[in-house]
Amino acid sequence: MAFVAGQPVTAVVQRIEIRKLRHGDNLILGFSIGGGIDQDPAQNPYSEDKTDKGIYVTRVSEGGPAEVAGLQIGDKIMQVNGWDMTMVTHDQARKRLTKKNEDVVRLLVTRKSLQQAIRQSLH
Amino acid sequence: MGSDPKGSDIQGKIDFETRMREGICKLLAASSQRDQVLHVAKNLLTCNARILHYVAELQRHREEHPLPKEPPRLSGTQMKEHSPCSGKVAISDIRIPLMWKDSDHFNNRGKGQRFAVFCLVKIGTQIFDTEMVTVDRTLTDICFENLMIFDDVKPDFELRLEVFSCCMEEGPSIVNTPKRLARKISTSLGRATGKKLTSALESGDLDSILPTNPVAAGVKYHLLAETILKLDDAEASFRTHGLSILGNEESSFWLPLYGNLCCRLVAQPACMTTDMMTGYLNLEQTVGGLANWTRLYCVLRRGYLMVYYTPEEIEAQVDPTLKIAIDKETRIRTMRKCSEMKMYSFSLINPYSGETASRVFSADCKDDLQQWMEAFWQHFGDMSQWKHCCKELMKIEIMSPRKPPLFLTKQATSVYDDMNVESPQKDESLVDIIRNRIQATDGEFLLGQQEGSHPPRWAALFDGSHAMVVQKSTLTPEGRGQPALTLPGRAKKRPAPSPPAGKEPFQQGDSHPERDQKENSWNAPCSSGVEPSEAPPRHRSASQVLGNNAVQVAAKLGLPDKPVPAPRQKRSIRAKFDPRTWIPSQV
Repeated sequence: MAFVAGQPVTAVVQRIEIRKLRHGDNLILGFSIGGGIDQDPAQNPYSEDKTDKGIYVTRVSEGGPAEVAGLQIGDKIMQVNGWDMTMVTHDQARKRLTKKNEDVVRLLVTRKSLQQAIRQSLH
Repeated sequence: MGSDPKGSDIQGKIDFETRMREGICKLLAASSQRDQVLHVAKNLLTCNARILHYVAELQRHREEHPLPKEPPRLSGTQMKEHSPCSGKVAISDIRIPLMWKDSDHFNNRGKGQRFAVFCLVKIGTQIFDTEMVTVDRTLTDICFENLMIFDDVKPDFELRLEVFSCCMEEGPSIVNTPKRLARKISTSLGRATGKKLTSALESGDLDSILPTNPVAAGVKYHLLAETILKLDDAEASFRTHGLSILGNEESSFWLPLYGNLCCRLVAQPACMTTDMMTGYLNLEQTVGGLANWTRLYCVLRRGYLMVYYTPEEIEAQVDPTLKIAIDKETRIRTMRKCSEMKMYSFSLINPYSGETASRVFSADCKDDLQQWMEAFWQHFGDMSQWKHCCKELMKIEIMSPRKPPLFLTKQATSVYDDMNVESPQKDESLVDIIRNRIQATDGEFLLGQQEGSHPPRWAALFDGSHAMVVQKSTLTPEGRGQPALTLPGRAKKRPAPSPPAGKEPFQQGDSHPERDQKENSWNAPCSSGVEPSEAPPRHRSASQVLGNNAVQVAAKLGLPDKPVPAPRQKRSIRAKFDPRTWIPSQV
């Protein structure tokens, strides 16, 4: 999943639909993200390519909406509700996920296991 | 040298240090890694300093005492020459603030020059060195955690603290290269420079005493700053002291010191920790006009004369019957024979604490009285010499009190990274939420087993009956070719192309995982988190993958192999203040 600005990216993605859980005044999704173009990609434990500044899932709360929807730790989020997440700052990513008027977020995520599975299936 | 125990003692230490030094020189010649060389050079410097001081001490000792020394005899009425008691001095938690330019400090374009810094702390011949700390531009303070305890120190001690530093990097050329390249360069240089180098030491008069130091170039510690601390600086809490800085900006070893040093200097005189004098005394008490003598066990310690009935009381930690303060206001006088019964007595009064009558103590014999008077005089002498250290015992702590996190070594980050997000952070509340949900939906929301075992959700990709969408993120399904990637810095960001309306990318026949999801949003398919190894690998040709959509298939699934350096982007103002870290945030 190497990522170069301006070059086409190909990835096998999975569509994950997370329904936000309302907790008082807040809508929570139940996972944590890391990464962004303003963050240091070398510290990302989940990325294969340490220059990848994408948004990665660093933690999925047990039993939360994200886990239920099938989001896994280490997933890279490519799109959220149609908005691109491969070239955003950390804050922009967080904002796109936590919009108050949206109940559901549809993510396109990719992970290494998907890619490997495809590769295996092609051979 | 049997008659000169102290001299032979010093000589023994010199011999020991000399052997250590030989060992260190050999180790230095064998070291190749820069870190190793620095550590060993530090040890060598300490060793040399110790040898130097021991030799000086030995010379001084020999000059002053050409004859073997005899302890002076205590004559009957003469008072022994009083020297104040010795004590322990401990220094810990040395912190030296640095004064970088803020553009340097927050600059995240690599770490810049790195320095190896350590401190040498000496009292007399006791020399200790701290650990070696690597300092770069992101550090605000140089902190040394070591605790150093000096024993047998007189109150007129001088604690010399010297800060040594050495530049680690060869130059700024290393700084800007990408990390992988820099690593390669530094390891390949390490061996070469290591072989070239051996230790180097600044030694002015050292050469005359020691065999010549191995000469070297690169690794050389320079004296950066020093300060002298004395008894007045000792206190139970942290204090700030000035530093005199040597060197200037042009020197290679220059570090922008703020000019201060914070540390905790604690002095524990022996009179505060040990019993100065113990013994039986008889106290005269006048009861109803009659003199009554009570035999009591007295302990002189810590500025108090504590009076017990028996010594066992001390062990039982019973409070003393009497606790008399002995300080410079106390007046103690020997008395002549006041009665036939008790001859060797003295009176004790603390006039300023409101006592009107003096207490009369009597010793059993002349020697006892002498010893007690000695002890009192010694005590007075100690208290005047050790001054404020005698008021209250300062504790030498092994664990230092917690420093505020500002001073802990931490990379410079901006406050934006610590910002709180709207969503609640606690996981416990999530469990409560779920519990409530269970109750609210009457059990529909159960994280229980579903009948049958479902294959992993994306295993559906491979069983040959489904249309799989492999989306290329640069093309829209309609083939419009709009780039999904937007360059940062543009005011208007265009969203990625929306998925085709009305067409579901995964079609799994009847049981559509997403539809299932929509109905029972909380049913957790037990397939979540299952490894791909369970999916039967199928042979699929690329064409089959196309499916119904006009999306172009990913032809290229491999990664480009060449490492790609992180592209430098035009940053927004806020992004400019965000140094690179990697902090996740919860959504």
